[in-house]
Amino acid sequence: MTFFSLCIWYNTEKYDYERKTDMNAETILKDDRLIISLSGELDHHNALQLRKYTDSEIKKYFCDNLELDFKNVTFMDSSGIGFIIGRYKIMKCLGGKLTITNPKPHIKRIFDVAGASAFADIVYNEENERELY
Amino acid sequence: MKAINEIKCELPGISENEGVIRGIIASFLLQTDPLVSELSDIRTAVSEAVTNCIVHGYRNKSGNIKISAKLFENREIYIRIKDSGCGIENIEQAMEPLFTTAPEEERAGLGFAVMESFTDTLTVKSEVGKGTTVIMKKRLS
Repeated sequence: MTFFSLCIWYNTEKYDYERKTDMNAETILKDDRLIISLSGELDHHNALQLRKYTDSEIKKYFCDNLELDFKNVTFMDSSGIGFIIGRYKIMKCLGGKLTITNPKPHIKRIFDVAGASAFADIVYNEENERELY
Repeated sequence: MKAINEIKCELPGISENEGVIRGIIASFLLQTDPLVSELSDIRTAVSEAVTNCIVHGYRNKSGNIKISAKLFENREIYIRIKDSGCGIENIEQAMEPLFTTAPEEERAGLGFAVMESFTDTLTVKSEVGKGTTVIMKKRLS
């Protein structure tokens, strides 16, 4: 596949993704980290498309450190935990690490119920907590 | 006790409706002026129940999800989510944390665990081949 056709493939995938879900995801490469910042509601419906997007980004960049930024995620249920466990398994296979940053307090509660700190480093933003409590 | 307000609706069991049903319940609750944390707890619990209907109940067939919610004078909220899907054979086992029948879809097996910890009481009734009813109650502050 030439570079040109790769670009087209990437664009159509992206278009498809944006049409079917109301969640947005953006990829930033910083140092040796692949940062995917998510925004919107992470439920079963949106997780399906987000899974495809994240996996294609992991395949594309082959980064050791995957960071999921939850700063703009307004809602999450256990489907989000399933999504995170799935990505953790992939990163483990690649010998990498998974980090979750800035979840809001009500999302943090779901991480606590699921014991998410066992499979991902969770970095909380203190400003976020002060804002709501 | 007498209900001071009530809502009933029926929607097709498709994943697009997970967000729709969360929205309906949240707008019904707004009249009680709930805390942000209470509202997000109920939204999460409802989302888990509806996702269960779609992922498990209606895995091999399609059907509707019936939602009914009541608000009582003592600020207790009653939510019933009913499907006519495949039903649950062993409810006790289904309610165990991490137990799932759909690992290939990356289900964490935490649906009932989250519902239990985010509401005051959770009742699950089910009959194989006929469907499942989930009843959640929560007292608002």
